[in-house]
Parts: sequence; C-alpha cells; structure tokens
Amino acid sequence: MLKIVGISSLALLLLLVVPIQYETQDTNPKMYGYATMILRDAAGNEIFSQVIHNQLQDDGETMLLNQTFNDNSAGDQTTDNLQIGAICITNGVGSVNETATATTFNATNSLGGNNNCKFDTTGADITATQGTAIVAPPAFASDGINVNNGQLIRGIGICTAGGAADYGDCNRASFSKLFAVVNTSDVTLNTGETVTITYTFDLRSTTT
Amino acid sequence: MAKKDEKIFVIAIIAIVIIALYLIPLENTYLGLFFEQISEPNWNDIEDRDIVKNTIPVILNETMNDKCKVSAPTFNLIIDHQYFKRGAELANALNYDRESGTLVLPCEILPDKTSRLHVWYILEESEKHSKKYKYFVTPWNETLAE
Repeated sequence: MLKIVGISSLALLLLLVVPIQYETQDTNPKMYGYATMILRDAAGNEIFSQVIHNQLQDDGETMLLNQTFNDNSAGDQTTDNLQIGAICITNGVGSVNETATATTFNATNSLGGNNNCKFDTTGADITATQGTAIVAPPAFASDGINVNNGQLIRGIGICTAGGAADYGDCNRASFSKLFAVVNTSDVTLNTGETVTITYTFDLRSTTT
Repeated sequence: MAKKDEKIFVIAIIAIVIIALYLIPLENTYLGLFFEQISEPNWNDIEDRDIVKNTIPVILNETMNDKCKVSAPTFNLIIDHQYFKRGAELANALNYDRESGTLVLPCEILPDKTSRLHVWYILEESEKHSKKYKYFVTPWNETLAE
C-alpha cells in the first residue's frame, strides 16, 4: 500500500513539474479580425446574429506590410477610397484557402450578376481609432439588389473598396485585393430579408 | 527499519507534492491539461478569436411542468456551422426538432415569452478548452454577442 501511494505521488509530482510548453507573454499583439452578422426578416426583426473570426489572406498580410513600410513596392495603394473598405458576399467560401486572391474569391462565387459587394462612397464607414478599424456598410438586401431571393450566402470577403455603393465583385480592378475571408453560417435571403455585416480589424495588445 | 524508511520517503514525497501543488502554476503542466479537460472554461480568458458567438430569438410555445418548448426556427444556422464540432450534441441536449424548429429548455432560464438564446463555442484549434460550448438565455433586449 505504501509503495502504491509513493509511486502515485511521484507520478503526480512528475505531471506537476514537466511543462507542456513555454509560458507565453500575454503582452503579445493580438492582431485579428472578425465579422458580426445580423440577419433580419422582412419586417426588420433580428432572427440570427453571429460574431466569428476571420482568415487573413496572404494578400492581405502583404498589403498591410507594403503600405506600412518603405519598401519600394509597386503595389502600394495610397488612395484612401481605394483601400480596404468593402464587404463582398459569396456562396463559395468553403473552398477559399489562405492563398486565395480576389480573383480566386470571385471564381468560387456563383451568386450571379447582382452587386455582391457593398461600400459607402462617402468613406464614412471606416472607423479607424484606438487600434481598431471597423468596416460597416449598409445592409445587404435580397430582391435582386445584392442577391436574388432564396440565394444562399456562405461567407464574406473583405476587399479593397469599390467605386460605387453597390458593385459587382471583389476583383473589380487590377489593384483589387482580398484582405480576409470569414466563413459565416449559411444564411438564405428571402424576399424582403436583409443581412447587416460589420468587419472589425483589431490591432490592440492587452497593455494598450 | 526498512518500513520506517519507506514511510519517511512517502511522507516526504507527499509533502513535496503538496508544496508543488501550491507553488507551481498548473496551466502549463500535464496535470493542468488534465484539469482543463474536465473543468468549465473561464470565458474571459479565452482569446476572442477562438470563440464564435451566436444569438437567436426563442419564443415560448408550450409549458410541460418545468420544461418549456420554444420556437427556434433559426437554430440550425448555429449547429450546422462546420466550426461547431459538437453542434449535434447540443441539438440532442436541447431536444431540437429540425422539422418544427423547436427546442426544449428549462422554464427557469426563460425570462420572457420572447427571449434571446446565446450559443458560444470554442474553435477546435484553440489551445485552451478546444470544442467546449455554453448556452444561456437573456431578455430579448439584451445583446451580448459583441
């Protein structure tokens, strides 16, 4: 009996002192982005909401670095109303991986000839303050405005801004970039229904 | 004599274990990992990026003793998402009827006829409390999703 207690205690001690990983500093930057989606019925009542993390695309990371640092990059986009500022809906996000570009994003989207992207031409949508940027265009609508009635939205792309409030797709020009992708719940927009989507990009660390 | 030595050895080990339990933070040890599997997460300690937060309206349909059948026609939008690995388990726990779009909840957690059901779950790839979930109900005018 004494031996069993002794061996068990030694085993417990081993489990206590052997680390499974090095402790990480909680002051590390926590750069991340997330989408908030609110689905409303034809009467305007909220019927579903979701807050869900994004997948930052390789193109998005490169764009961030190119625009921040003096790197002689030919691809820098310095005109404000052509920077990240639009949200595009898609029915093909499941097959979009981290290397996907605006072109790939469009290729997997078959929502049709509607204006699948939204951007406020006033630029007033983007609130960049205290470590966060919020892209909050008006609600996406059915009835052929942004999607046809009954079409399924499976995710969203965060894209460089468009030239109009509603426009065709993420890859609208040669400079277009797909910044991030969010794989949301699959929602169907029927007649009169809308979905409001907000994207927040957060650069705050715990000490700032 | 050998028995006495054995006793002293075991008592010493137990004492060291007790001191170690008191002094060593468990979070980065195998024992901590074990406790994590069986404990409830502190949701404030989980990275925001690792939590998916959903809310839907639920409307009271019928009372059966202390159980309430509620209408939740958009519950499928929560449990069918590919990130929610234990969605089927939650649907089962709440007696979800996909055809009628109803759930059965304890009446005591429903504040009003129309209430807000919140379902939060942790992504599979999270370092802490992977795949755990919780649900709770608040008055409809309270939004905690953001």
